[in-house]
Amino acid sequence: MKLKRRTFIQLAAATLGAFGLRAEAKPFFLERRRPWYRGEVTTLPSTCDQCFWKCSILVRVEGGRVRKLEGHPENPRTRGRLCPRGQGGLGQLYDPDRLKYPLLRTGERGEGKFKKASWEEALDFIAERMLALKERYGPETIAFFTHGGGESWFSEYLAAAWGSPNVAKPAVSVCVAPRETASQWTFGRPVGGHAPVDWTNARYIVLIGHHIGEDTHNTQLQDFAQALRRGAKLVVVDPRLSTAAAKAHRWLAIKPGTDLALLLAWIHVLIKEDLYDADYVARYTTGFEALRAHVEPFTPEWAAEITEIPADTIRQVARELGAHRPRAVLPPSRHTVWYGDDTQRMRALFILNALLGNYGREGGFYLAKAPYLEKYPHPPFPLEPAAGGCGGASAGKEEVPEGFRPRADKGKFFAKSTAIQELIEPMLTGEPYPIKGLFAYGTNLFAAIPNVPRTKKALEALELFVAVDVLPQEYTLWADVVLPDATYLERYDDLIAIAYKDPLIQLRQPAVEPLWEARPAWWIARELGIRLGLSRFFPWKDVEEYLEARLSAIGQSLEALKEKGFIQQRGRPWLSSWERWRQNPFKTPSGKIELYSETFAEAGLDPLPRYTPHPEPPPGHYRLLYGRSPVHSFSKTQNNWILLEMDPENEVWIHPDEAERLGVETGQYVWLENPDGVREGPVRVWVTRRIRRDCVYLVHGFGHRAPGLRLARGRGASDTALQTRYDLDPISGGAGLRNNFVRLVPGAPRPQHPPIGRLARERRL
Amino acid sequence: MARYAMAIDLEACVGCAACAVACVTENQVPPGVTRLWIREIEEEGPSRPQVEFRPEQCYHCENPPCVPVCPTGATYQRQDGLVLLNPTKCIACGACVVACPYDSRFLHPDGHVDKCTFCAHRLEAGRDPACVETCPTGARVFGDLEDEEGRLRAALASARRVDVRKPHLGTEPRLFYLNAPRATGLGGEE
Amino acid sequence: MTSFYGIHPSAEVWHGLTLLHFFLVGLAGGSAFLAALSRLRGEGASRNLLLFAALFVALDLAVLWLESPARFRFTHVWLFATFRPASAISWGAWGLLLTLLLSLALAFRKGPERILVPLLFASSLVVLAYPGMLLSENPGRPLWDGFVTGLMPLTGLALAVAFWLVFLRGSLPRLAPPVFLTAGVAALLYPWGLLHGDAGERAAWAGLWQDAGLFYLAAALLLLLAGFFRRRPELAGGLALLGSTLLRSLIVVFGQ
Repeated sequence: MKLKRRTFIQLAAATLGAFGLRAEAKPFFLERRRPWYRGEVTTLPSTCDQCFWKCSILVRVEGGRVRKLEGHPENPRTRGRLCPRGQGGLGQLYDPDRLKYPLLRTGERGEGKFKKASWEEALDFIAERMLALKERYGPETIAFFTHGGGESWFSEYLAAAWGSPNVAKPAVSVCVAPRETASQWTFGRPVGGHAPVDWTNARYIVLIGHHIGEDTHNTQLQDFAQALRRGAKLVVVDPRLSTAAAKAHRWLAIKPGTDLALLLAWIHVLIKEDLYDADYVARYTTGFEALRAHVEPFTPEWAAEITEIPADTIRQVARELGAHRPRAVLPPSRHTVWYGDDTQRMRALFILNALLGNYGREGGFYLAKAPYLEKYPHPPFPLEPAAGGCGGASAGKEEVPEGFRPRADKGKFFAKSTAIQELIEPMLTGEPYPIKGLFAYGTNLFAAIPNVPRTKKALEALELFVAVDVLPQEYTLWADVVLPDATYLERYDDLIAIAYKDPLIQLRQPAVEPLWEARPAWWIARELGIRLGLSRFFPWKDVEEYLEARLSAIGQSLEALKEKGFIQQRGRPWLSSWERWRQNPFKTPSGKIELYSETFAEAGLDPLPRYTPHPEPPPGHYRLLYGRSPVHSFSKTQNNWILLEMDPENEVWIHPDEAERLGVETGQYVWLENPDGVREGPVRVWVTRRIRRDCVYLVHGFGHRAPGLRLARGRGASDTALQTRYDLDPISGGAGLRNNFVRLVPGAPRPQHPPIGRLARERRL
Repeated sequence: MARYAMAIDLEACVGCAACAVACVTENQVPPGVTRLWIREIEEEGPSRPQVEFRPEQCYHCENPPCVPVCPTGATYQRQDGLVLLNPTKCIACGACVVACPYDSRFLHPDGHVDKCTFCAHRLEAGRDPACVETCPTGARVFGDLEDEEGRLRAALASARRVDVRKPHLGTEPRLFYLNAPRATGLGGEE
Repeated sequence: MTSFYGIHPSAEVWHGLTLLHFFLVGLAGGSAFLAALSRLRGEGASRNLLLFAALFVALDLAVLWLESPARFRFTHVWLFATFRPASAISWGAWGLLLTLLLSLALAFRKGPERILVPLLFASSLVVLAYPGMLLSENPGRPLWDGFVTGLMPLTGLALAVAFWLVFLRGSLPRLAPPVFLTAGVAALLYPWGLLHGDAGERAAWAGLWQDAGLFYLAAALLLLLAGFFRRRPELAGGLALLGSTLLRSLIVVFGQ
């Protein structure tokens, strides 16, 4: 009642000026529109691209418009359900703020002055500049940054045909790189885009900084709920009482940055008290004795000092883990770039899982298999596609073909994957060689790469910057050429291969024609390729021909896939099934799960994970933690009105004791300021006991500044803007982001937004 | 005759709002209003804060206070329990909006009152309401209260506790909340 | 937080023009009631009052139409195609219509007064009473308890009496003080009742008290004060007019 009551004063004022008629009312004979479901509805299957989870969807089209999106009921990963972002996809498709035409920059970089151009003009301009740059610096001077469903046409196709190894994705070094590298060097297998955790059969689940529920990755969330329904015990380790922690049987409010100590103590107890799976360890692992000796000093008492979790609790959870093995599991979170020693932390997590004997067993990890698929028979690319993908091979010796140069970030870290943030430096310094051109596809640079001031400087130094996106995100203001991408409901993409228990091939197909002059990614890549003299790599005339060729190579047809939406193949999810075929799933140098990594030792890295303390917040500052909103994907969905309405701004969470000390209350607006003088906000304060005193929390993706995002701009604060520092993980190349600190500066004004009603008419469904 | 009702398992609900978004697109709800929303209630628990994610909407009460107050009969209760609204008869006087103790009704910008219909049009086709169908955690169950073998009755029977909002008003809501995290029932001002 | 702007989505529907309606409907019902009463008691000289009653009803109906988001859909015809006894607004619609027709008929001496006057008396009572009914029939709005059913007609009558005193130089000194005093006392009894009610009612009053307690007290005091200014009817009327309007508006606004 309190919320919706206006003060009497306001009301009196409203009464006086009340005669403004609302213009929304229509004549009665026009008013009742026929609901879409009473019209002629056609349905076609496709694949969602609101995040990377790639859910199989049914698209309902009526009157030439997409009306509804639903989960594909037959797809084993979707099961007829969709997360909020998937449900809200048409908010992006029909967003009136979308990029509508190719644009050529007329003003300064960042100024946002453009002139409308034809596709012909824009593509010719890009090709001309790219060829000139290649002439002067070589093909590697063009970097490709990509994100989203259409990225493969650039990162895996055009870039490889062009010959630049500098292809990077924020999804790697600002996200999963540590867990992929750690998994590769422990199990000899990637984790992959969809963590292969057998949630439903698990009886004891320990989450460390894993925000399931706030991330709404469909299959995983369904399985998680199912596990709890079946009575699985849940332990959540997090400085914040996340949604998952709210569901947990135990919440361990760990001191941020000390997770590795906790993991080592758990390993210690498992070994010390003989709770580990000795048979499994003997059969599948190597280096156990070294591990035993290594963790000897890491007692729960030692860890309690560091983590601020009582030693008894640590011991108890370890015992419960042991009691529930092999159906006890510690699922890896996706975003693992925290403190710069992240590969080691993820190694500890995987070692712990291995000790529980759950890898390749029900209730633990299944062995995900990628589907069998053939490449399109184009002439061989001069370069193999750079290892930018989430599941890409993450290390090993890299061969650079004759006449090409190695990646510009080579030598900075151990893994073979590319680190997007390390490609910024060469743009500024020209070392090891200059990067003068950047092609960014769907990659919101200012929300995806730490140290935004440096990124902006680097963009200013570029000779060519091309941005391809659906929305006029802030980074597009820096581009020389802005190209409007078609949304996932308007385009084909390459076949989508999903590693799963039984792997899947899925199709993304257009439900409606691209709006305005937007064009699909495959078309842009092909047109550009032809202009760059790479026609021989694009022998197909359109994407349907390309897809048909790939599908017929495996005995399938595009026609059938367009009807069904997905193809399922047989997998081999359990160790037992591999053994039946006398095959070894562990592609490590030793062919076993490597508790001790010889390769790491040879490379001068810790062969066993070791805890190192991380910097403490300076006085008056809090560690900046960040996470996700269930209705938003990164910084891509805040301008989608359907999703925005459900979560229109982020809030800074702060503990009541600290709030009292600072004199701030829930609902008040503050600035956030970091020691480098970056100020963000205004952002709303949320005082809550759900967070420790030494940190504050923000949902990632807000704080848009681009004027073209009329709904999203000026709402909340950007965590990325405050992350001016990062700690490079010397193994994975990941950019550890959680050693950034902020203080709260009270007195920020409450932001004024246009009432949504004013923007409503052009956004009616 | 069927007696439609819904149950939401608060233990499973993570407040992701997939239901609310599905509702917006299914029913073409315009910006600025909503038929369905999530209330996040944080209360002190025995050892740590307790959080309740509670989706709220029209409860299709057995004794709906909104129906008798309607001067034109635009709002009515169907035999199967659905409380519906005929926009062509609605004069938007707001009596039902005020009468609803759960604030489940609102003024649609087209000049009539609007609210959740349990997706009556989908029920005709034998489908679940859009919110139920999409719920990733499966927290929502829809069904026929009369059907003793049905999934709704099964969900109610297996729940640790069943609550409705503001039971003292005697409205007999037909949306049940299962397994409220707080031992004494629903949180907040209930 | 995924809670739709973090606020309650169902914003209050009654504001601005609706408050003007609650003012006009009291005035209209009260005026018609006074006119009918004086005719019943054989005191003629109420033609002005009848005309004003008709005017207020007409104005009120106009306001109701104007404030309705459905105004251009013309669905209001449904009001007069049905009668739904459980709905206060249905009573109100018919009451207002009849009051308008009856007071016009009486003012212009059309039709048998013997029948029309009692009918007007009845219909004016409906107009006076239905706003209170409308408010108190909402189980989820604790501020609008049963007491409001009495308070609304009382303040409505007070409005009409006050209007009569101020603008028509009426000669109703005998009726005015008791009406004002009763309304004032009722205004003071109302919170007393709420404070002795259940938790919801106490909370509802606390909300009003916190945000506009002074305004409420002022409204009640104005009414009481008006009851004592027997010598200066215009001042008394002015005070009562202000007090009643304020009181009714506060109750409508804070009850939602």
